[in-house]
Amino acid sequence: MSDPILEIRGLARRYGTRQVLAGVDLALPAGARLTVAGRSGVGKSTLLRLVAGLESPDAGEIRLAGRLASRAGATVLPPWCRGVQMVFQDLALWPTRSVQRHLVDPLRAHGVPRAAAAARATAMLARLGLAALVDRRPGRLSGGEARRLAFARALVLEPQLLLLDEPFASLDPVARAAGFELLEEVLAATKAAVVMVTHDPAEARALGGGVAVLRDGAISAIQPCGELCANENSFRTALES
Amino acid sequence: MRSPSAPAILACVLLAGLAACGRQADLVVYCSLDREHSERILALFEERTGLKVEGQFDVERNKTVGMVNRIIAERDRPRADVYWNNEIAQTIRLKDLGLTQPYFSESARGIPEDFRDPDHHWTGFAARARVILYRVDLLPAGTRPPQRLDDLADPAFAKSGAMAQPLTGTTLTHFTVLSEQRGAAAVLDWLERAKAAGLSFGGGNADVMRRVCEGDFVWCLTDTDDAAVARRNGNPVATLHLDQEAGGAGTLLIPNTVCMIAGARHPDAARKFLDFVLSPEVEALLAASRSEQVPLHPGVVTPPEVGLPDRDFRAMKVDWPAAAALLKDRAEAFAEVFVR
Amino acid sequence: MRLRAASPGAPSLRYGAAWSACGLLAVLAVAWLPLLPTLPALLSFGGLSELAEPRLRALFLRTAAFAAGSALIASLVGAPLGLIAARVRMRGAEVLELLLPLPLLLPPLLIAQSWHGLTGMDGMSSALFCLGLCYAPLPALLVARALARQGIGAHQAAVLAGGRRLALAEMARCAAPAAVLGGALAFLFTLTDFAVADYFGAVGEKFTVYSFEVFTHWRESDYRGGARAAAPLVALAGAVLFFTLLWGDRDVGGGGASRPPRLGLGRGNWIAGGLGIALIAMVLVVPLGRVLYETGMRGPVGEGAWLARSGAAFRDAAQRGGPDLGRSIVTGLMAGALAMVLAPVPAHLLARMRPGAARSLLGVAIALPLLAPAVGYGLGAILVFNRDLFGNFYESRLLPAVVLAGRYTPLAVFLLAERLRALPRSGEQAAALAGISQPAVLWRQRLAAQRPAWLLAGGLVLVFAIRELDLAVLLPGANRSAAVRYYNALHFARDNFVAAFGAMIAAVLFLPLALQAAVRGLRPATETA
Repeated sequence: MSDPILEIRGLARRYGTRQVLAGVDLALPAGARLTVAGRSGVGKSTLLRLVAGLESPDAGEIRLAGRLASRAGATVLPPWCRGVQMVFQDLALWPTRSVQRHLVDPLRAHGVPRAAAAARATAMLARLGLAALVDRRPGRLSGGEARRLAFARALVLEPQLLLLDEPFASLDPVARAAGFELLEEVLAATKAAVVMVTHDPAEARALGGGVAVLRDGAISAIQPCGELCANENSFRTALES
Repeated sequence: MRSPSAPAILACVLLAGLAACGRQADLVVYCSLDREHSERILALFEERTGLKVEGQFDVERNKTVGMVNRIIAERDRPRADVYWNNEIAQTIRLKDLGLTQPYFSESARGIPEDFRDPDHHWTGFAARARVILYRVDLLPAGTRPPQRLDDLADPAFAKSGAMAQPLTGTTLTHFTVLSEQRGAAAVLDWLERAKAAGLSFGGGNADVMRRVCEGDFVWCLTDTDDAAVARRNGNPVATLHLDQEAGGAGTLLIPNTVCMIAGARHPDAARKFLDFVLSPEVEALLAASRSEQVPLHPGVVTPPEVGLPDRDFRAMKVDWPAAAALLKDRAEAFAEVFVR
Repeated sequence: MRLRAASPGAPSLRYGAAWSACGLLAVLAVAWLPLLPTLPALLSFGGLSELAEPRLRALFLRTAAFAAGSALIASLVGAPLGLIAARVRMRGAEVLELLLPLPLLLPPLLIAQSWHGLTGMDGMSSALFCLGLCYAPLPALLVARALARQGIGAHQAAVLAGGRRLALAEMARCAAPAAVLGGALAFLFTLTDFAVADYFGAVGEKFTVYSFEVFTHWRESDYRGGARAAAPLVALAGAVLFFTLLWGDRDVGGGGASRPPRLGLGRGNWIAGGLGIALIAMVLVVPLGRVLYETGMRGPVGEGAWLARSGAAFRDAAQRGGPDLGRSIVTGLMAGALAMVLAPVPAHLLARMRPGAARSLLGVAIALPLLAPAVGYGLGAILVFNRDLFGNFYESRLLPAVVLAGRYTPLAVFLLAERLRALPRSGEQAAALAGISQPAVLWRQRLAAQRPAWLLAGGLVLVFAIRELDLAVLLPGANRSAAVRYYNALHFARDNFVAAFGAMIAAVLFLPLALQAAVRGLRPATETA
C-alpha cells in the first residue's frame, strides 16, 4: 500500500500564549479530497500554512508522500520542494506581474526552460479562460478572472496536493458554483489531492470527500460529507459540539 | 489611543517660545571673526561694562558672508548695532551701500591710516597676513618654498602646492588687491599660468592648510590664523612671508574691521564697544589667542610666534577703497575661470 | 478634541473640503511665506534661459550627472541594505534595521571628513562616493518600509510557487518604486550640496558644482539673482520629484496591517549578513568611529593618553557647546511640534488623492520650500518678517521654529501621507456615515492609528532643524545654535573639541529615533520560510 500523500502526527502550534493547534493527527490518501471545517479562528489557515511549510510546528511532524517535511521547530522540506500549492483566501496575486508571468515565473524558478514554461502557461491559461488576458496585471482583472488566475498559478506546477484557503468565500452562489465546476475540471486532469478549509457546508458539499472538524486545537474523526453537510443545522452542530 | 490636539501642541510651542525668551540685549554685534576668538572679547566687554551683548556669528562654510547678507536684508529695519568683520572689502561695500555710520574712536588713534576709513565709517585692527605655510619635513633637501607670489605659478613649485580659489574670503580680497595693483588682465593671466603649471586650488584657506598638515601638499598660500592652527596642533610646519626681497611688493595684511550700522538701536553701547574693541588691549588678546592676529597698534606686546610688520616683514601698501570697488567685478571674472 | 456628530443639515463632506482647504492654506502660508520674495525669480524662465551660456550649461549638466551618480550609489548601497535589514532572516537583523536611519542624521561634511581622514580620498569620485553613502539611508529606509508592507499572501505565494529566487524577485519588484524614490531624494539633496564637493575639490581633479554658481549671487546679497540662478536647479529637482511621485504611485500591492515574514536564504544568510554589516559599517560605524577616535587625538584640549584627551574634549564640548545645543534642541522641538500640527492635513489630502498628475503636482508644491536653496529661504524670511507689523516676533525664538518648520514640514507630510495611505478607507467612511466630522476622524482616529509615524514625522523635523546651518546663520533667534558653533569651530581647526562636539550633536540627533525604538521595542524575528 502506498504512503498517504499527507500524514500529520501530533501537530501543535502556539502564537504567544495562545495554543492554536494542539495535537492534530490526519492522514490523506493520494487524490483524496478533504474539507477542514471549523469556526473562525480555530486554526484552519494555520494548519494549511504548516502543511505548505510556510511556518514550522512547535511539536509533531508532517510527512508528504512518506517524506518528512516538517518536525518540531523545523521546516525540513522547503515549501517550494513539497509538491504542494495553495490558493490563498485573498488570492495573493502579484500586482506588478502580468497574468502570463504569474505562471511563467514560477515555472522558470523550478528550472523549466523558457519556451516550455511559456507553452505550459499558455495551455493552462487557455484551459481556465484567461488566454485573452495574458498581458493584464491583477489590478485590471475582474474578481472571477483574478480567482481563476490564482487557481492557474497553483495548478501550473502540477502539485500532488492542493490547499484551498476558503477560495470562494466572498462569492455569490452562482459564481461559487462556477468556481467549483472549474475546480472539478482541473482536478480531473491533475488528480491532485485537495485540502480545503471552510466554515460553509455548501462549499464542503461542493468539494465532496471527507470532512474533518477542527475544534479545540485538534481534529475529530473524518466523516463523510454526505450526512454532515446535508443541511446547515447538522453542520453547525458538528462545528459547535 | 488618545492623541494630543492641535491647539494643545500649539500652546506647548508658544509656551516653549516664551520660556526661551530672555532679557533683551543692550548691544547687538554681528561678527564674522571665528566665534572661538570673538566670543571671549564680547564676554570681556560684558564683564567690564555690565551691558548685555548679543553676538551673532558667521561660519566659514558659507564663506562668512552670512552677516553681510543679513545686514543688507535688514536694511529697512536694522537689527545690528555693530558689525565686526574678519576682513575689509565687505565692510567697505556696506559703507558704499550707505549701511554704516561714522564714528571716530579715540582708541583708533595709533592704527596706521591705511587701515582707517577717512570718513570714519570703519576702522581696521588685528590683521591676518597672507603667508606660505610649508611642511619642513616634506621639503626636499636643498630646496626652498616659494619666496615670491610669482613663484606659485612656476612649474618648479606649483605641483607641490595649493591655494584657495579666489572666489571668496581673503583669497578673493588678495587677488582683487593684486588686480588693482597689476591690472585685471595680468592677474587673470597669472591664474591661468598657475593652473597650467599644476597649482592645486581648494575651497578655502582652511582646506588647503589641512591638506598640507595631512601631507597632500608641501606648501600652501593661506592666512596666518590658519597657519597658527596648523603649528599649534603639532604639525611640522613653518611660515614664510612672500615678496620680501628688495623692491618686492611685500606681504598683504588683511585687517579685521569694525563699523557702526546706520540706524543702530543702541548707538551709545555701540560706540563703547568700538572704543573697547579697537584698543591695544584687545589687539594683544587677539594676538595671544590661537588665531595669532597681527596687531596694528604700535607697541602691543605679542607672543614671539606673531610676526610684526616693519619688525619681521614688510607689509604691502594697499588702496583699500579702490580694491573694494573692484571686488564684485573681479569675483565674477574669477568665477568665469574657476566655476565651470 | 472630542468626537462630535456633525449637525443635521451640515454635510460633512463639504465641511471636510472646507477644513482641508484651510489646513492646506495654513501650511502653504507658513512654508511659502519666506519663498514669496524670491518666488517669481525662482520660478522664472529667465533663470532657465541663462543655461544658454556654455559655461553655465556645462556646469549644470555636470552637476546633474554628479547628482545622478550619487543617487545611483545611494540606491545601490541603500536598497540591498534595506532589504537585508527588513526582510532577511538572520541574527541581528532587527538591530540593523534600527540603525538604518542614523547615518542620515549625520552632517554629510562630517561623513566626508571622516572618510577623507581615514583614506585620504579626494576628487570628484570621492565626493560621489561620500554623498552616495550619506544619502544611502533614504532608499534603505524607504525600501525597508515598502517591504514591511508587502502583502503577506503575495510573499508566501512566491515562496511556495518559486522558492527563494521568486520571493526575492517579488520583493525587488515591491521595493523598486521605493528605491527609485529614495534615489530621487538622494539626487535632490546632492543637487543642492556644495560643501562636500567643495571639500573634496581641493586636490587632484578640481571640480565645481552648480550650487556654487548660485552661492556667488548670495555672496553679493543679490537674492533675486541667486533665486534666478537657482531656478534651473529647482526646475530639475521639481521635475524629478514630479515624475518619481507619479511613477511611485504604481500599485505594488501590500498595505496589510501585519508585517510579512523574514526570508531565510540558507547559506546566502552569511553573505547577506556580511553585506549588511559591511554596508552599515560604511555608512555609519566607520564615520562615527573615526569621529570618536578623533576626540582623543591631538588638539587644544587635554593632555596625556587618548582616553584623558577624549574625556577632556567631551567636557570642553559640554561646557562651551552645551548651551548652544540646548537652544538648538528647544528650537528643534518647537519646529517639530509645529510640523506635527501642520503636516496632517496635507498628508491626509495626499494620501486620499487619486494617484496621478494632480497628486504629484501637489506633492511638488508642498516640497517647494525644501527644493529652494536654504540661503534664499532664510533671506526671504528676513525680508518678510523683519517688519514693524510682526513686532518682536522677528527677534524671538519662535521665528526660527516657524521658518524651520516651514522648510522641513514637507518631509513630515510625505512620511505621514505614506503611512495614512496604508490605512483602509473603510474606517473613514464608517465615521462619515456616523456623522463624525472629518477633523475629528483625522485627529482622533487616523493619527491615533499612526501615532508612531506622527511622532516620527515631528522627530524628523526636529532632527533636520538641529542640523540646519544656513538658516541658523541668518535667523536672529537661531544663530546661537549647535550647528553654527560646530561649523565655526570646524573652520578654525578640526581638533578634538570639534570631534567631541560633533559626537554630542550626533548623539542628540539619534535621540528621537532611539526613544521611538525604545517605545516600540525591538520587534522579534518572525519565523517563516
